[in-house]
Amino acid sequence: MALAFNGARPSGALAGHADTGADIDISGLTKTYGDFTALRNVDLSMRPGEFVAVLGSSGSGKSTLLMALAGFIQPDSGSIRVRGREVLGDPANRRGFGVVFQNYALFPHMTVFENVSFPLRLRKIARSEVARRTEQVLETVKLGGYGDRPIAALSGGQRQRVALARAIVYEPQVLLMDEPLSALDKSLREEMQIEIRELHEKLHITTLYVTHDQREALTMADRIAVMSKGEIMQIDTPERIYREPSSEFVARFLGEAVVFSRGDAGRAFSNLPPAPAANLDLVMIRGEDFRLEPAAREPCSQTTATVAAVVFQGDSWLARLTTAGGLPFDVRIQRADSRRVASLTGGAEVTLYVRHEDIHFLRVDP
Amino acid sequence: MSASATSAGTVPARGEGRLTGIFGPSLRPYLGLMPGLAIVFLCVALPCLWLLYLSSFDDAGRLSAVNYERLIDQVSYRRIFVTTFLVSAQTVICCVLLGVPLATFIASLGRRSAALFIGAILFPLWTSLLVRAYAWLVILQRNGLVNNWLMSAGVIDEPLPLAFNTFSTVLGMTHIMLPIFLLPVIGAMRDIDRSLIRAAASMGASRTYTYRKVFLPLALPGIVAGATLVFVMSLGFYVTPAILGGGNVQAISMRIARSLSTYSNFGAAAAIGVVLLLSTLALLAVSLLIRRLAQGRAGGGHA
Repeated sequence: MALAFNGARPSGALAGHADTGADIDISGLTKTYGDFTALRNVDLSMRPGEFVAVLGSSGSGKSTLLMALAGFIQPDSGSIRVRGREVLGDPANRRGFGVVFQNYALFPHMTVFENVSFPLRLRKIARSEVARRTEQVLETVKLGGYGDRPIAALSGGQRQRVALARAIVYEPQVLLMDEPLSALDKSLREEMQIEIRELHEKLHITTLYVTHDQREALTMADRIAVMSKGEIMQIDTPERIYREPSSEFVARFLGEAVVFSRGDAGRAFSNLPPAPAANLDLVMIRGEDFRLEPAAREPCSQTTATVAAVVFQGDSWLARLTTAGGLPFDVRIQRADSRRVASLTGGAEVTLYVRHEDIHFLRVDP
Repeated sequence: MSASATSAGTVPARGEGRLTGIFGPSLRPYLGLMPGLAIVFLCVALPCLWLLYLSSFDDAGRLSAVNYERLIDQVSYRRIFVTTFLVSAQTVICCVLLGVPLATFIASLGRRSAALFIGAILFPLWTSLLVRAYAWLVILQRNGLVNNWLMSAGVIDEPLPLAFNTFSTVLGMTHIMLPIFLLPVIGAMRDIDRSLIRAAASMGASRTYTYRKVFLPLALPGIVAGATLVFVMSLGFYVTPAILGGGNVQAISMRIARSLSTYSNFGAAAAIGVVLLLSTLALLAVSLLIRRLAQGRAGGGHA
């Protein structure tokens, strides 16, 4: 496969594959530990070269899914096909996937070079070729010249890059990343998100990226799979999953959501649009979609609420409100409206507007 | 310390105790260690110095190097040192060959089964050395268990010389030393991060490759520590070589005992003790050096 690092001609032991990563087809994957169901009938298809983020809280089964794909956990049932071939019978060391572990799992007794070249050396590749490809991939992750450093002498971000370099140096068709940035501080994490994304655009390795950080998933992924209790709740592009969550769980998990039952919403709002289907009994509005003024040429619903508290949070204000019926809800007011926020003191009444297209109707979660 | 002297000289002590003026500020934290240091001095350093003192007088009580000259001149002494070091080295080799696979197995077990195995390994430590040595004699001697079985099974016609030689001595010492070897090795192996093993597998490494290139190198400090412990303790072994060697294996400790009990020659015994002590320290230094090199690669090296 052609991983044209820095424009150099690709040449690897695994060369000969198509230009992009492998397609993956996971179906009916189930894994239980006693009474606990870690994976419940998980289906997930990934296109060649696609970047899918699996988003979930701890215990949602997202890491179990990754470990099953990597071959470290044997699922009870289901199938995992890579390029159409069943791989569940293959041990981890025959699957040929790159894996980046949460704690990096770098070999502490080896230098950076020895770590990164490990997968090449065990493949009995000529020494000069090993050196060339290792140097090349170290350049790719911006660690050129760091080869002789011991692992202990590296910073967290550098270790992360070494782990990444080691996972891609043998040009795998599939890259699995298990919360690779969770140990880094915020600014470094954001920098690495962009870098990994850029690297992915260059290499086109099919990537499964496990994270609990919604912003990370939104930033990096082509598609996001939200997991809860061993099931994939929804899988979609970042924008669609944010704009059109299919369930209250997903709506609350990504971003700030105000959710009312349709009855409560009907009492609180005037001019509410009709629900597109009868079984959609919840009304969901993003906290930032509430406005202090009606939109110019678009139909709006409106509600009058009592202000409980207003908190300044840097880029925006968080207002805690109560409906006329006494239901609490939080809305986000952009800094552009700062002048008007001044009038929002505790106990004051405020009228809020929501465009009809920002009002979403959801099923009640089973 | 020159640093303390200068700081005591330049920074005026603000009357917060005269000790500062006398010892310098940097010594104060160590004052609490004094009782402990005193005990160490009394129990370790003083006897060693006493040994050195005893070894430097001849039979007539004159200051002389005769005890050390004897060690160098007499072939029998040199042979004893060689024998002791060889037996100890063989014990270490047996412990490593048996212990590393066993430790690998135990380290791979769950917490409960590992505790069970470690308990089984430690159990013999509570029985007396003497009992264990004689137990081996029962098994190994001319008409012992092994020879009887082999003869009655028709495998051999003559009893094998299993007891009273280097073989039985090393066997008995390995039996005693194995638990002592295993503990640091199991500890080091259990400390190895399992995700490293998974990482190696994910990159395509076979189990044996991972074991050789990742697991063993990371367990090496523990193995070196265990081997050093076994070697040093083996050098001073008395009961096991005395019984299982049956006079055919002359260990240093036995020679020291004979110098004292038969000849009452404290100078000669002390000289052997000093040489043994020095060679042990030299060995420990080498072992420490090996570990430093291993750790230097693992971390810190040139930061």
